[in-house]
Amino acid sequence: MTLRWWKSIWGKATMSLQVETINVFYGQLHIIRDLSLSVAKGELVCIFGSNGHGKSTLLKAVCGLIKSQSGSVIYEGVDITNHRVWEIVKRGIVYIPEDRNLFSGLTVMENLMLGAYLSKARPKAEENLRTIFHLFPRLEERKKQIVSTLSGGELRMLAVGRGLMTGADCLLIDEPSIGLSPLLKTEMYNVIKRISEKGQCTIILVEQDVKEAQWLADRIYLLKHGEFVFEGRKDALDEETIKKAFL
Amino acid sequence: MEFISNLGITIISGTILGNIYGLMALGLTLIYGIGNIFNFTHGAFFIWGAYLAWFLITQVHLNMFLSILLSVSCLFLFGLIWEKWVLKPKRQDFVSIITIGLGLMMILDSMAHYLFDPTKKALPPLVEGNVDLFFVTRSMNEVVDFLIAMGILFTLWFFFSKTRVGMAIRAVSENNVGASIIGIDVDKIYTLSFAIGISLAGLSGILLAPEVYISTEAGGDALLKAVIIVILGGLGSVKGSMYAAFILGMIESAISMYVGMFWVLPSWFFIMVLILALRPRGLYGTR
Repeated sequence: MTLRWWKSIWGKATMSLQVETINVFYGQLHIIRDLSLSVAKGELVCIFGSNGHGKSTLLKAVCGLIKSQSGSVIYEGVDITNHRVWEIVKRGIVYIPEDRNLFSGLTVMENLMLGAYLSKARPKAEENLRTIFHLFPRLEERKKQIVSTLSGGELRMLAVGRGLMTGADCLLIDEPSIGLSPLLKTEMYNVIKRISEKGQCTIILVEQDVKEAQWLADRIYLLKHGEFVFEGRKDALDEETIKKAFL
Repeated sequence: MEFISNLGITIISGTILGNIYGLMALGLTLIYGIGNIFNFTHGAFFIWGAYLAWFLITQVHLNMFLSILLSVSCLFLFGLIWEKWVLKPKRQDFVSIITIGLGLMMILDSMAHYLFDPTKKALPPLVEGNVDLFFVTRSMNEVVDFLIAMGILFTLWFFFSKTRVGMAIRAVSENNVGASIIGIDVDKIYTLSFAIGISLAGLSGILLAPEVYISTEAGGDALLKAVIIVILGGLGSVKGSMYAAFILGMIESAISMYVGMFWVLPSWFFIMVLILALRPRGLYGTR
């Protein structure tokens, strides 16, 4: 038993989320190729990549919306690979999609309270609601408004807020800044950083723009054609590596 | 005076019919809203609710209200089992769902024909006697029907707007992916919604049965009426279905009074086509 072996065992023991050599196909199209990822508890990991390289697919495979053909997803020591989506949410992982998937015919408050649907989330619903309104004051102003009347930025805030209402320990956030003005983008990133700094949430954030979002990350992955071409701390990432990943 | 009396009868009967049709249509809207499929068995469950109640009241000699409760409970239980074990595995296959629905409809109609024989049955009224309402004399049974229907509709409103499970049903009907990613067990919601939907069909059959004869042919009419109400109200819209049920209930009452029962369905079709020409999605439809 080598030092390397002990390190890998120790790594597995301290990792909150581990994705091990998953492969995801859309029909014949091989989107995610033998991909492995590990995230420690409380870490904020950013995954960057161009459109169509598998960023959203990876998050959907972790949260159970898409099934991987092989490999495994282990969270807090439990293999959740074949779990249903709501079972994975009960375990503590929540996916905040790029296309929001909000309930547009309901009010902001109804959407948020539905976020606390699970019995484990209900005792903390009031407290979480106060936190969300503190992070996103605009949502409190609009709490009685029907969601279909909200702006793009407000919809993004609501999607993140609803995710937080689940009381999840692990947030998978898919391109939260897409379509937002620079000011709102900064506001959104600051909120995500504040959530991470509280230390209670593991966050995997997927984005396209490395330069805008890399400051957030504890660690960074670069994804190209369904494979990671870089994994490491943000200060280890150089311009050349970024160029190769995006070209 | 006769004109006022007839007008009063039309309005009161129309309101009562509108409420009961509202229950029937609500069941169909619920199933459509969740699964995006028309439930072809809706008419069959409409008559089965009435037949079960008739059987328990007239053959088993159970108490009226207990019979109604048992009949609706049987349909609810059947709905839970049917959706979970038969429909759930085929949910993604639209053609299979339609085929299964048509098949079940035929089986239920044939079984009703065989078990209860083709002769028309009359369900005894829930309550005997008459009551004077605004210059008009109506049967107590109609008033009780109205109150029961209003009570059920209020309960459903409370359930869908104030309870966790009711809100979950609304969430799934809006966006089932969005519902699953916040931890809602979408499978259970589908099953529950189907069971509630067919129970409402059965209950409306029971409430209407004392006013009309129960027969296997009534199922086809009931399904057609429910479909017209749902389309007129707007696919998947509960509010639209309720308004449409009320409007069409009034029209049925007026046409029956002044023209004849035969012209009820043609008049419904006419109104539906007219309104859809002006508002293609129906009164409150979004799809």
